[in-house]
Amino acid sequence: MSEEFSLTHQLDGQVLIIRTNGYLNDLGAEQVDEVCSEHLEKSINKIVINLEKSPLINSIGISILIGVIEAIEEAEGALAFTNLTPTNRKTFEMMGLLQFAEPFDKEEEAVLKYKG
Amino acid sequence: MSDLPMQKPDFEEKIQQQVLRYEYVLEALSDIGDELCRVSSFDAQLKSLLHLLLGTLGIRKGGIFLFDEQTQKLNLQCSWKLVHKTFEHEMTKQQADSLSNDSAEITYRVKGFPHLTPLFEAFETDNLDCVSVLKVRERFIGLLIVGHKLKEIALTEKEVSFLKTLSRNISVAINNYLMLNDLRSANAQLDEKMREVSILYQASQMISSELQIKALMNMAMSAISGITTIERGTAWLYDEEHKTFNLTAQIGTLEETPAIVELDSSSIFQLAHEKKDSFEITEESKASFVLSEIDSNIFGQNFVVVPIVNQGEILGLVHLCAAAEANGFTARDIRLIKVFAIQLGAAVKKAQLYEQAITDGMTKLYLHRYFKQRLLDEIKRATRFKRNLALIMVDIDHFKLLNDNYGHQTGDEVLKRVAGILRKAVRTHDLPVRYGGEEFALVLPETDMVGAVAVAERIRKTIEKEVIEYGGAVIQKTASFGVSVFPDCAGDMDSLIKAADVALYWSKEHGRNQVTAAPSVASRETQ
Repeated sequence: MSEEFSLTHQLDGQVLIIRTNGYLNDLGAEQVDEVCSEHLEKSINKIVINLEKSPLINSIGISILIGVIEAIEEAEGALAFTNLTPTNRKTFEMMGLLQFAEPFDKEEEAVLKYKG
Repeated sequence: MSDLPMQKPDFEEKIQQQVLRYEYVLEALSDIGDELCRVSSFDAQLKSLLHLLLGTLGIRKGGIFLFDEQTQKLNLQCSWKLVHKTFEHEMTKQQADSLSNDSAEITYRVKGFPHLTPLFEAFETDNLDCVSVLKVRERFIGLLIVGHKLKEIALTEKEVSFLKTLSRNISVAINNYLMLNDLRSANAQLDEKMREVSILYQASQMISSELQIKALMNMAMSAISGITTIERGTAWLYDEEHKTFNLTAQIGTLEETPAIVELDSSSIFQLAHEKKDSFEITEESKASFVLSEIDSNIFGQNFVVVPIVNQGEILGLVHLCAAAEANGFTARDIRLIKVFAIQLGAAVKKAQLYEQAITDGMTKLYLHRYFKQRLLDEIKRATRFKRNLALIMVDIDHFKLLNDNYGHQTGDEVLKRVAGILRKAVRTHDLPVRYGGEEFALVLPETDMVGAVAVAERIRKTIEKEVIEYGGAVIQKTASFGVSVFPDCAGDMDSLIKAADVALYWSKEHGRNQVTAAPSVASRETQ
């Protein structure tokens, strides 16, 4: 049994940091989309998603992240994925997600870049 | 030559990419399998399937429509990032049929899809890429629509073909779910039918063997309260001769329900009598039907009336008020009660016929044949429970003379009057009998000699005082009585009758208009 998906988020200046926890295969993953939409409405359009605690991401997770990418693109913002496992990185690449979102090894690197 | 070393890693990379892609797709297929095995709500499952499909193909948006055969409507059951979250599209029968039968192809580019143009116009801003017709065995069950990939890139031909495969899987999943649902509801209906049948069986069992009509009606009322919850109710028998309805059973608190209601005085009784079919009076129906005071006193405000009918003959009716918390009767309740009323009609008729067979038409007292049978039963019961049983024999004094002087019609009138007095004098379990000609008998269970003589004496006085005016004549009659008690005076039926007969004979011999008690066995032995 995989534990249920959950997430936490915080603002660092004008950068939204989302840290997911658990297998992104559940409808719970829609929360990522909801949190992003809420902040995009408030003109916070630089988002860092830390996937350290979500080593497994399946198609459901991908479909939601595609939605997030699209929304940020429309808002002319920027999206970063950090702490990707090698498998996830390959999947993201293959699905073309990394053409629109930057991968970073560490969360701080991404935040630093977006704050600058 | 110089190109080769460059091409090789490129080619390998491509192959690797392909393998990775297939791995991912396989994973998605196994996820779909997992999803199908999961016990979750249909909507959640459908949404998971949609996300799996979108994520596998890298598509931004999409939705699944389901077709409702009953309403002929296509409903957007789940959607992701589409311009409409809910959407309804009415289809014609021909449209649904053409989607069911149209070619083997199920997945199209939206631009080349020949059907449902108005629906796709409504989603124009979504810039949809493909559409799949969801169907199972030529039955149209819905529609899957998807948008483009990121940056509005259309699916490749390979991806479209994969979409087709996934669409088939989704069709099967939906169909399985719908069939399971049908099965569940069919099972539930079957369970309900079984329950109804068993309720009716129990109710019918209760009433089928009861021949005593008042007991039958009481049982019927309690059987009905087993079928549905009722606040109160009454059961009435129709008296064709007097055109009245007579109250025979009731449950629940009713303030002063009249025992007899004339047909002419109540429109509810008249309606039941005319229609011979059940009807319900509710707040709504009262707009066109005004309840009289007498009716609302008897029946209340909201109620259902079910006539008791046997072969077109109205025998009575049952009236029921639903429990206050139940908010009226359900269609099922009424259906069950109606079926039960048919059984009740047969049972009432049977009980009435039986009553006719064992009673004398003129005096309404039990016949000699039935008296013997009952007396034997009562003696057995008295023996088993070590109780007394009294038998009173009554003979009208100088009856032959009365017939000779006034004629048989007057004689009959006297018999009817005396029978009426006997009927009124007895308790529920006592048995008044027309023994023969002008002779009557009373069987009194659980009564000793002192009690029986007191009853006889009371009846004797009543007859003596009764003034009968008939055909211009004023007549006063007397009667003689003989009383015997089981087991004090006799040990079996024949000797009990004999003992009472001898006592009656003694009364006749010693001046008539008196009560004589048969001697006990003990006193005879000491003499």
